[in-house]
Amino acid sequence: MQFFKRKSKPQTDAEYIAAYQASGDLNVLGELYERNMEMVFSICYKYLRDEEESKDATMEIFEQLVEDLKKHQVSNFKSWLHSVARNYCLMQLRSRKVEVGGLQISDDEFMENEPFMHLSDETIDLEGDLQKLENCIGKLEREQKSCVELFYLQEKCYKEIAEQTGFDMNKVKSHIQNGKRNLKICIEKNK
Amino acid sequence: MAKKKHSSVTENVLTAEDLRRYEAGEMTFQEMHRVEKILLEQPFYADAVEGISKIKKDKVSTETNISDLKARLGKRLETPISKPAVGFDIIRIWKPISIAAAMLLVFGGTYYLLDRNQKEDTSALVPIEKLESKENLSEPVANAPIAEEDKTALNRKQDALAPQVHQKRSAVSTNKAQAVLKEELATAVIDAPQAKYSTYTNETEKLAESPPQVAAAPVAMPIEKKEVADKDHTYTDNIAATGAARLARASISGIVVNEDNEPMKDVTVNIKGKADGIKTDEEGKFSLKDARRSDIVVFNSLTMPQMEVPLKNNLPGKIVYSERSFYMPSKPKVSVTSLNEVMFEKTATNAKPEFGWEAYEVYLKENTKLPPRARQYNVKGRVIVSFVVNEKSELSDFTIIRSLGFGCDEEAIRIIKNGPKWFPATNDDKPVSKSMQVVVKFQ
Repeated sequence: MQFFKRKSKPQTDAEYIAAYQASGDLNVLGELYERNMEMVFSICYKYLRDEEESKDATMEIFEQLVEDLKKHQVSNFKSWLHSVARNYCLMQLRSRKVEVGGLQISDDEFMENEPFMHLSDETIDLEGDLQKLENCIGKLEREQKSCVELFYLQEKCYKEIAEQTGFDMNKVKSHIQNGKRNLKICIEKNK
Repeated sequence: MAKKKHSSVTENVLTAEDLRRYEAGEMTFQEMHRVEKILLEQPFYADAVEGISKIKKDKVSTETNISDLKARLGKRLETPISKPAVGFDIIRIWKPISIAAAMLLVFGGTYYLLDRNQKEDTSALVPIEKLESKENLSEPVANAPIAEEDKTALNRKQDALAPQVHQKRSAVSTNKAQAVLKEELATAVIDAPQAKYSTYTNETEKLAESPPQVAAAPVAMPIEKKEVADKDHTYTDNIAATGAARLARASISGIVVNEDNEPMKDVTVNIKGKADGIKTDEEGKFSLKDARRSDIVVFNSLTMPQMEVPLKNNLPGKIVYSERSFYMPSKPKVSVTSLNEVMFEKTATNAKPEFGWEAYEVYLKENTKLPPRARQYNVKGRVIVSFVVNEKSELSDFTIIRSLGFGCDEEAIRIIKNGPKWFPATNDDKPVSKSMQVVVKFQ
């Protein structure tokens, strides 16, 4: 672990990537990856549902990063890593399906109906234009409206909102997600 | 590594520890709210949380797995010269060489053609020939007139052009500068029909453009090549000597203005069916050569949808680019798709390739080459690539959504990277960063 002593240690993902691209030093990339390894492993497990396979996948994804990061510019590492990991797992599932033939989801549906988007680039600044935001919130359905208000304005967590409104936790979550999406559409429309 | 600095940098960052605590319900309401907010923004974490809850449900030990993984990663880092690394090193060395070779071919080829017009000097061919594929070398030249030789030279030039699109583009612009002729009669050759040429044209699938005047099949070849041929217009004089079929081609020029009669700069102009074109200058001016009567001129700009104007009779000097003057709006074909189009209303547009989707498709078709390994195993199919077009038109964050393997994925990304520029997506007429998807077909 001698690389800890290097001067001007990178801090952000972008700095790590820049350092790796400049030096080609695997240790730099390894350090960055180690910070995210548990996340990647968890994502793999979500899809693959198998310990050993998920570990192999986690290592394979690292190999993919070793090469891809040398070649490509990546502006949002987390979002990119997520899509790399997710697509790797989906690919594994596809090949598994060929082997076993038992998986229920047809791969075309799986792959193309929910392609990954880099969402974080497109999220809008919810605190931005308050007047417009208020108008848009007013237009939301009642359940979505109350959940969104409690979550974003009063900064309550799902559990509190569930207790307060009597909705199920999952309902709360989906109300917030849908409400947020509707808000985004509404604000973009009225720009 | 255990120490995490809680600076502004980490504001939107969650640790695995955070997520585990969240799952276990060990957080305060305030902490939970923070986690939930980030989860809504970043699917990376949202997916991880789902995984963590499954791990918990299946009673899998995270600690053992992670320490195992850390050991494996450490081992991997100690032995940097593992197999994939070696492979990559070779590629890394090989790449610049191949690029250099391609550049040499392109410049050599261009120079040769230019040079040749002045002093029919065939000796310059020799060094180029050495680098060429056997196929070209074995081409029968014996009974051929001058034009025949030119064809091989052209083939060669095009071959050389194909791998390096950027080179191609620069070649085009330099040649464009030479174009002065206003009404130019270019000619196409019908010569001893050669099976080789006709199959070649079939492969590149550009027969559709074949003009009505011409009867014999092999004629399609000079038409297909006209793009290359006309770059060097003195060269066409050479063919004129042997020419049989004549196609009238004119250079056209004009000014693109908006509804308020103001000139529009940076509007791209190209001829339908071609992958390449030009941009209007500060005064909205453009000129295109080698346009035929049957052509359709395609206009694209940052905020406007594609406009098509059939050439038929001469274009008006001023072309009004407004939504009301869409003579022939045509839809992009199926193989290139973009997402989220539904979500945007009038004030927002999606990113699009510089010369429109159709031209982009032509570009993909012309430049997608089946990688050798894929050919070896007879792999065919589609690769879906996702990437971000940022507000400065730069492409980044390439990901393979659907992989084909055998080198096709890399090829697909290469083609998109080296391809036409993009107009970024806009919101309220301001360029914004947006993720796009392109389907690359390997046939």
